[in-house]
Amino acid sequence: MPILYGGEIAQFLDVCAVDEALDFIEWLRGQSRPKIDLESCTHLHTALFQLIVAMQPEINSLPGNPFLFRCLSEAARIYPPAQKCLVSESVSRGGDS
Amino acid sequence: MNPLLTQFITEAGDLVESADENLLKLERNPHDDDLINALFRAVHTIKGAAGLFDIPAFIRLVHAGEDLLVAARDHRLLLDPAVTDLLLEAMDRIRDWLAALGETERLPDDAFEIGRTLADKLRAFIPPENGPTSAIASDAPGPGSDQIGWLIRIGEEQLLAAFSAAVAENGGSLLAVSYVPDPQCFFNGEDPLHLVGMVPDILALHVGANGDWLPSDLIDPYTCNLVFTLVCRAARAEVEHLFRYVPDQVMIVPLSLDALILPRGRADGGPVVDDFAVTAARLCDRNDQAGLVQAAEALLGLIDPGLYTASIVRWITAVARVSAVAKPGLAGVLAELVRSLAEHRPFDVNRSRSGTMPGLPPSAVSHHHTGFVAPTVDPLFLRILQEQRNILGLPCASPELAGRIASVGRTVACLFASTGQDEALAEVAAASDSALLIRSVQPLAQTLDAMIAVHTPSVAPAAVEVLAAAIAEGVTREHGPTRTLRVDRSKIDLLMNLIGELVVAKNSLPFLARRAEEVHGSREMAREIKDQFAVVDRLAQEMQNAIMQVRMLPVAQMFQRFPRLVRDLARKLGKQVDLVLEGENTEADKNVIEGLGDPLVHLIRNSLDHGIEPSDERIAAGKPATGTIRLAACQEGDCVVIEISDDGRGIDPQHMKAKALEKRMVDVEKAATLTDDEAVQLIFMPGFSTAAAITDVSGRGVGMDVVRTAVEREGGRLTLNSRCGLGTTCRLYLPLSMAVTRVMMVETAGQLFGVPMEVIAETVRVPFTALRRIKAAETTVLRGSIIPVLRLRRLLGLPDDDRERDSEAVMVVRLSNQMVGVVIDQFREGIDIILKPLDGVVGNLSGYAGTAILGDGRILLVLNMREIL
Repeated sequence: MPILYGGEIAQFLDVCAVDEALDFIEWLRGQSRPKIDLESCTHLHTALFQLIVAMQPEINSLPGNPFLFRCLSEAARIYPPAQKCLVSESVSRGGDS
Repeated sequence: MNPLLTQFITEAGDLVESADENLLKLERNPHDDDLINALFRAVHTIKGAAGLFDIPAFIRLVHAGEDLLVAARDHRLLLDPAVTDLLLEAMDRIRDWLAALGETERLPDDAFEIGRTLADKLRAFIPPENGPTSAIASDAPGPGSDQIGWLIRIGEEQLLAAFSAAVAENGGSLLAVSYVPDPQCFFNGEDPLHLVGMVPDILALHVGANGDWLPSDLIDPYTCNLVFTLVCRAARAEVEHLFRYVPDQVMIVPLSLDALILPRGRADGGPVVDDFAVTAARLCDRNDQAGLVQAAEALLGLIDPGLYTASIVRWITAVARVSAVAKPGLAGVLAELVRSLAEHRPFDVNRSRSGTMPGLPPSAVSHHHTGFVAPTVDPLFLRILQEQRNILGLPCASPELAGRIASVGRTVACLFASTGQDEALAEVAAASDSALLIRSVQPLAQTLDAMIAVHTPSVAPAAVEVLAAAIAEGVTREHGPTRTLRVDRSKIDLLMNLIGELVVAKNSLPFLARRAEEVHGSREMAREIKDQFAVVDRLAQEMQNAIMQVRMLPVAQMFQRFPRLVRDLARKLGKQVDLVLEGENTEADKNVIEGLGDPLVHLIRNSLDHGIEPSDERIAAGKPATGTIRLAACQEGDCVVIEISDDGRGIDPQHMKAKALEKRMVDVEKAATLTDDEAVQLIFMPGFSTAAAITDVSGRGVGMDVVRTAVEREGGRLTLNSRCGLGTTCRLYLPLSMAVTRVMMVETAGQLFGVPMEVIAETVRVPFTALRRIKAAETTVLRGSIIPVLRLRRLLGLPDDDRERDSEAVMVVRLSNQMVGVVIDQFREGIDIILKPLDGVVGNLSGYAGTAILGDGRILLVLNMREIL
């Protein structure tokens, strides 16, 4: 299972493909304050990425892949409801990388 | 082979043919927009279909051709012979590659290299998309901001960072990419994010929603709703290759450095900014970038960062920081930034490019004048307009001024009257009146400027938009009802054979009826069978006609390759030749059309090489400098006639005789008795080639005899008439269809033989007294000419006829324009048969064209008169 759902937090592991999208959105809909952990994610399919951008779960940690990192921080910055501090931090980190 | 590939090869082949044809038409008429559009669509469709297969070299070449045609379509490029040559070469290459794909399912090994060279050559003809290029935009042409309006989706910080990075590292061209994936793309196995991740050296990136997000309970996880916008530093070809499968969803635009400067924010100013503008202008003049950066940073601390002016100031900081170290052209950008601040107007990158803009600013022009919509632009129209405007600009003494204004006003008014633009007409009249009133050319000059601006072909709309439009066009076209059906030829042949069998089977019914009456004594039964036979007969005939129609093709299919051939040869030989095609809609059997291609090529080559004279010779002979070759088709009875005529020098009979003597093909006595017409026919003798020098075009010793043989093999015949000095005409007679052969049955020694109807000239009964014996050979005189008479019994080795009779049945056959009488026992009726060639053990028998089955089950041997005689 590339996505491990444990209570409020979903952990993305390695390659997360398009097949996960349906489970993921069901899970997101069922949570009041969903959190996701992307640290171990190496490939994130656009469908999953899009759900993260649209539903704005709290991101506990960003992936190590520089491109995914950049995209997520970029998208999160545009849809920023409660994640201002995460964003400013990630942008400065993005600048360094 | 992959059926998709098979289909692609056939369709692309057809499209290449049509593109070829249109190219040639365009060469005569380079301004025909319809032709350019048709050509573009053909090439575009090939490209689109090619995208399905892994043939990058192919796609690259077609893509280059397509871009070239876009330029031609936008009137940025005229398709002159040089460009046409290149495009034709590209078409040839594509045709070769299609053939290679058909054989090996892959492109030849050298395809990549050849494709690249050819694509580069094609691209070299494409003019840059925008006229004015800025000093900094040396890497790439700078498109107008309207083309890349979507670039503003990228945040300012990112653009600022991209700007600095682009300046710092010189090299690689900047590209702006907008990628809107298809909403259903996930179902195609696409992963847009991953695709974007493969773009090299992304300087700025924005990922956003394409429209708003739906509420969480309505979001469809399998509908892509994203837009990617990015600036990268990479070779365009590389990025295009990445996005090669989604060309309609992506826009790739080369970017100049200054196009990144996209200030944004609320419009508001204030005294602080005005002060800064003054200071900045001074610092700018002094070239004090450090001071400028300092002042700008100080100001940024004071004003609201959300203002437009704040954004400009941020850009001033960024540009000032780098302009000293980087390209000098940025100074203009900096000055324009400061000016726009001082003048409280939006930053306009175009102004910095052309320095000070004389006359009206472009925005004012388009604003000033909205009265009329420009029709299609005629270059001459524009030139006249421009010329009149120039006249107004010339210095002029005041007494002459009124006259000049009036004259320009009149000329322009006439111009618009000629194109029927009434609104413009009124406008010019008003402007010239007011110019006269205030005694200044100003009002009229402004109006003219505006009109010139409107009529000038707009700098190419984004190529991608053009593509999108073409795609949309293609889609609507393809969604129309399909009117043709591609069927494998062998299936048609099978159907044809089956119908042939049916015809034969049907023919046995009358025999059955006779048996019913004679053997079983039931006359009623016989009549019923005959009634049924009539019905089956009619249906079989209709079926036969219908299947014939399927096999019929217009000769246009065969003709279409000739314009190209004639053009190429004429260019090679340095002659001026017009090819006139007539009767292209005449239909003939597919086999006939295919079998005729090569003989016709040969005849046309002959006409070009030997017939048509060089221009100077033609003029000396009192003919038009351009020679004409006419290729006409028509139907005559059950024949298709194809006529090739030229108005060249014709064939000289004396020359022919001399040549024939020299080659010892005729002896002196025979040569002396030859009429001019007969001498001309010597050209058909094997090994006869009169060309003094063997040229690249014709005269390789493969003479007219080969052509005649080929035509006769198809069951046709060939005649040639020539008048020395006036031209030559060749006529090819071909059977409409070869599937069913009409033969006449003849009886000899109790056996039935069939003789193809087309060789029979007439049938006569000749009294014994009219048969003259000259030694062993018999002859008779028929309508004033002597014809040799042979006996079929002897020819076939059958016993002589010893019946009592006073006349002979003679069948006169025409063989290569010579008449021969053949004595037979008795004529029978003519019938339609399906001729089956002899094969197997009897395959080598000469003298027989084949066999056919008669209605009563007997086998009819069909004679090949040419071999027998």
